[in-house]
Amino acid sequence: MTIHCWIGSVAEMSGRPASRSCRDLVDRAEALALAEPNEPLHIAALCCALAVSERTLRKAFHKIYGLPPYRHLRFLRLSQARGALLAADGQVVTVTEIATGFGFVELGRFSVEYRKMFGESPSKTLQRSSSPKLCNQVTPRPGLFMGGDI
Amino acid sequence: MKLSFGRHRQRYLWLLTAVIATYVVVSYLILPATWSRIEHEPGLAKRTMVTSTAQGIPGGPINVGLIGAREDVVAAFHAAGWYPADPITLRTSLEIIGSVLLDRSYKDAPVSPLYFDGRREDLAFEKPEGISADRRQHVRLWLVLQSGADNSPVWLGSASFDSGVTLSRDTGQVTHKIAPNIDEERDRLITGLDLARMVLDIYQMRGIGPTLNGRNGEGEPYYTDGEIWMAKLVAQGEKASKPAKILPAPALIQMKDKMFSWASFVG
Repeated sequence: MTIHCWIGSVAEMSGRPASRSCRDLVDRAEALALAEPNEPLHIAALCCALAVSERTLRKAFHKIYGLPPYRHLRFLRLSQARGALLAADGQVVTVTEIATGFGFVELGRFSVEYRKMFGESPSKTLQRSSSPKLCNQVTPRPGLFMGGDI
Repeated sequence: MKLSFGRHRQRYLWLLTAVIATYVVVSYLILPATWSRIEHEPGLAKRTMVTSTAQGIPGGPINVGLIGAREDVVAAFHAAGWYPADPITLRTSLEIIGSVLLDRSYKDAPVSPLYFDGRREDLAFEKPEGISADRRQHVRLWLVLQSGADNSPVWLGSASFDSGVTLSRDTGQVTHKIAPNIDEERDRLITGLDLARMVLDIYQMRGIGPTLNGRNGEGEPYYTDGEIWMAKLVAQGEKASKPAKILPAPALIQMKDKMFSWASFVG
């Protein structure tokens, strides 16, 4: 369980105990945000579905990860998109299809954010995953970046 | 009298022979054996571990290394609370100036480009200290081996701590000044990743060697024991169950590092 393995890591670093209720709330937020990856990520809608205020959600994420919810959930989606790009066949799917499949409707912004985080463009990742001679260099593995076991 | 002179000569000859023999044994057998270490990444042995600016001015030394896929590196820094740096654009340049001047938060401010292995950094991360972008931990990373000794990608990086803003000694441009004790920053980075349980093994590799009066690309002074700390990362942020295993360096190198650390503390 990849993501859950992170829970408490930042809290441990700063010596703060991660309370059960915060952990539960963060778990539920992650599950909701990733349940329908093709839907754009809106924190207000997420709070509505969880029946908590934005302040409560923010405090819970800060307690567990030391990060704002949007930044963490966005990271998870970008990571999932990378997993999909690495696993995809560039002859069959496009970057646009994968990006929109993970709720990134502004493709320019997706590309900039992806490049900033992973240091390469999404099209380069897709191209590399499709190249037979380089396939052995980066092998997509199940877990966080495949989005299967959150 | 003659007998005594001959005896003395013989004694001096023995002494000289003993000194030469001791020197040969110590310098050519014992010390090299003690200093030698297992180089875990033989593919990196011949590189000069210094970055450079776009103008070719020597920059900061390489002082950290990571073993893992690109996504493992990104996940590890995310878990440790680091931010990927923005690219340098007009907007981000104005934003970092505003952050420093007005003490505004800018957690993913851009970092200036440095070159290693003939190209700009592949990844850059930072962790702000305080509100604005003038004080921050930051590291630039280069993918140097697609497949290292254990078939995982190998990254080398240059980590330092921005401690404020100053004018470059070489170009006069506004730039960050760095904390001169870059070993402290290297240790903080690796420890931070380990505390987040993102590291499996830690070991040392030969870097630029002990340097007391180094200058980075902006003319800022630094000193270092010259070692690179390498960290083998967990796969895809899957948290390790225990702190990383530290593979010890040879005794003489440990002694040298301790002496250097003590000397730099006293100095």
